[in-house]
Amino acid sequence: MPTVTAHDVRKSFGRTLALDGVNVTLDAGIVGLLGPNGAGKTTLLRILATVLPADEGNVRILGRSPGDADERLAIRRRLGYLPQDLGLYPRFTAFEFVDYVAILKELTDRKSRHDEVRRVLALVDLEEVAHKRIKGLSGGMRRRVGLAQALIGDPDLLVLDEPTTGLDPEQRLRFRELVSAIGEQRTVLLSTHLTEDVAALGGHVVVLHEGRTRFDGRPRDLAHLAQGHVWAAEARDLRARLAWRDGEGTFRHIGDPPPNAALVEPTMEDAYLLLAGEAPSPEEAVA
Amino acid sequence: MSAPWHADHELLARYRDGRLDVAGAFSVETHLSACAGCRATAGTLVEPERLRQVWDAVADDVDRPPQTVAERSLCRLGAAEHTARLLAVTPALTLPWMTAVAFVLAFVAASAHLRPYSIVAFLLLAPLVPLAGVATAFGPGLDPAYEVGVAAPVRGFRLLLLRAAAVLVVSLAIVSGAALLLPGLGFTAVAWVLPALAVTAAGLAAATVLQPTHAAIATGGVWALVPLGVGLASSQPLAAFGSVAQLVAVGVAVAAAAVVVARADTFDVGGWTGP
Repeated sequence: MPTVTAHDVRKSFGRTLALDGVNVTLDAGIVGLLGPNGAGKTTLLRILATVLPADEGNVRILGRSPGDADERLAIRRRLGYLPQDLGLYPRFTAFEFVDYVAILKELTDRKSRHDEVRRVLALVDLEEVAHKRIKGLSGGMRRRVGLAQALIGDPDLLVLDEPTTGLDPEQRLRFRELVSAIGEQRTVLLSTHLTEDVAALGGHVVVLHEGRTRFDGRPRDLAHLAQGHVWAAEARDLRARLAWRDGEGTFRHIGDPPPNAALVEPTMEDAYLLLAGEAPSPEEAVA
Repeated sequence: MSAPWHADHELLARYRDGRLDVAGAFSVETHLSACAGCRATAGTLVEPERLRQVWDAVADDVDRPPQTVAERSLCRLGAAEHTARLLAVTPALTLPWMTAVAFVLAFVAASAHLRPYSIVAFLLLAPLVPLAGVATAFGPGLDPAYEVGVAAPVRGFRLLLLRAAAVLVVSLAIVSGAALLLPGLGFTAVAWVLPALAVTAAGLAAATVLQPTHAAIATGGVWALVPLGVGLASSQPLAAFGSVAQLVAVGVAVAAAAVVVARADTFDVGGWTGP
């Protein structure tokens, strides 16, 4: 049974249509949700974290319906959630904050709860600063406090909204290591605007754009979407509809070939830009 | 220079059992901190289970978060430690909030000795204290970890009731204290109680439709207009606190409480959250 199925999910906020018929099916493993700002990633994650109800569509999480109060409770008992803008109580220490969330997660026995708090703080390398007030922690440390609270109780489904924001390269590597280990048994759904995160974590990628699912599959299949449409050149062709510069300084043109350009193997970044940018439509691209 | 000494088995056993006097125990502890050999011997004299318990107790003591005044009070009333902890992030139960409210109300109540119309101001202000306290106890915008709480299995409605009850009790106590400063100590000293309950319940009922802070502002606005309007219309400043008005307050409180219970599920999902 899939961990999550969402079929034709729609959600509006006033006149703003955030999700316009999203379909996803998630099994155990790591799923990267990619999309530019405003694509609907956070709204989809909030719905899958049972924080928001969908206006329309059918959502099943861990075999249950989040629309029913009792089933929603059962989902929440097996869920870990890191919101995008998680605020922390600044006068709390990291330990106090995670302990507080552990109480919200029904860990009532103090001894076993504190053991669990120590465990998750150790997982995110925060043991040393566990008793420092949050207002004195760096941005990366605060993000890790947020991650620690999501890990309480070893949830079956982890929903992480932009978990790598604010982490330095070393912390990001450590995060990927941790999430990879969790993803061997559990389902980890994480949103990011960094294709690099998804490429490194492998598994499964979903691309959202303007509230719709534009791709759902393996990272390597995402790269294949742009096959035959990526041209490398030393200089930017000003007529190109979409061109970006890779780490080596080469301009990668997506779409029509510029002069003196060579057709190259597409990467996931190329395909993502093709889907999310002002380039030809994906239907056109794969045709 | 004296010869080095070591704690023998018998001495360590007496230390373990607490059979040494203060000076003896002090000497053993001083020595153990400097002698790895005697520490190792002492370790073999204690049951591993007891060591584990001692270590757990130390870890628990170090890690246990300090309790706020509200938490301690709730625990004294018999609540569990984890239940009381749920009050720790309620702004209206913090000392700065309570002090500020007490100061303002005491000032208004005391000024009624000089300006009788300040009694009306006091009666208008009093119900806003629990309303504001409850509104800031939950909801997006004011609770930075609001979404984590919504996604957690603890029932939102239970959390709301617990915090609302605590805020209400504390607010009523503060306002009652300030009311003692009113001149005359007549009916006006208690005329605010039922309106306070009605306004707080109405604020919660409105929060089943609006975001909690917006609901509180709307309810507070309506409340401020009612006594002023009634007072102006009847030319009696305290007309809105008479016996009929008190009965109306009871009716509003009951009706609003019924709405809150009927729509309890609203507090379980973050329906107020925007995109």
